[in-house]
Amino acid sequence: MADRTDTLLVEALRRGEPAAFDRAYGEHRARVYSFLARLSGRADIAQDLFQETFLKLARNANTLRPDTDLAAWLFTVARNEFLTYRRRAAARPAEAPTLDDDHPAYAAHAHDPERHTAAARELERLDAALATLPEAHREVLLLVAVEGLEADRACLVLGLRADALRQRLSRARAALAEQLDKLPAIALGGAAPSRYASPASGKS
Amino acid sequence: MNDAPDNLLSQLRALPVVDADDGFAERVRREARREMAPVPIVAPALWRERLDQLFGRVLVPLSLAGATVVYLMWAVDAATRAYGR
Repeated sequence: MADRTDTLLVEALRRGEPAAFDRAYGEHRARVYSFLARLSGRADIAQDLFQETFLKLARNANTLRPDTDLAAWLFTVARNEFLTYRRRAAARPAEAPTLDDDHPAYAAHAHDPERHTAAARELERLDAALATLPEAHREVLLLVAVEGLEADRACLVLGLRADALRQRLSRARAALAEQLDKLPAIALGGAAPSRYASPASGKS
Repeated sequence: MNDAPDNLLSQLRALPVVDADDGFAERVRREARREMAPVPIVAPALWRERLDQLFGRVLVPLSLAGATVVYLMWAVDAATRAYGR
């Protein structure tokens, strides 16, 4: 699973080479942050969990196994950090995860009507539907579909067998399709304002 | 699986990456580098780990299996001598 480049990188990390950490950080930073942002639905929480994930990589670099699959390791730690956060927050009323209004992935488009194309709106709608799914569905879709993790790596991260992963992915896709069907009705009914509406449309 | 869910997965793949802002990312990188564990004075060499693996995964199980076979042979032999013929 871990290719030759990954093996060399892990070896360098085990030797405590700061340049190796920089390379690992550069290669995996965006995917891990993106995963956490969509899993938690909040930028502040995503930042905390992201920081903890890479601090753990730095602290445990010399104890990594030589055959460590770095991407799978990082996603596993990130997911565990999120689960720990959720357990700690369990005493509080559960909040439906929602991406921030100024979601950095869309913010530039949202304030620029020219660039806020139908395709971008469609992706926002998809993102919004994804955010409404239960965690178990959301995480499998994020790992396999959004981040493009191979099935064997996703199995490692989620601690599932291959058949269980396929089953969960299939259910998650069905749930997402169902949510997407519901979303236009909400928008047309005017019950909820569009979260990514540009200032020109009346949302401040 | 039908076409619609596959199409949905492709659409998910097209979702934009949500990246941390550069200032925050740089702060995390610096802090993590400071936290990097010091290299142990005697770092376990790769050959040593392979040897340990060989010992734990091959030699020990083989020894146990061998000892079991020898014991069973002795037990069968002893039983035959005691109760046989």
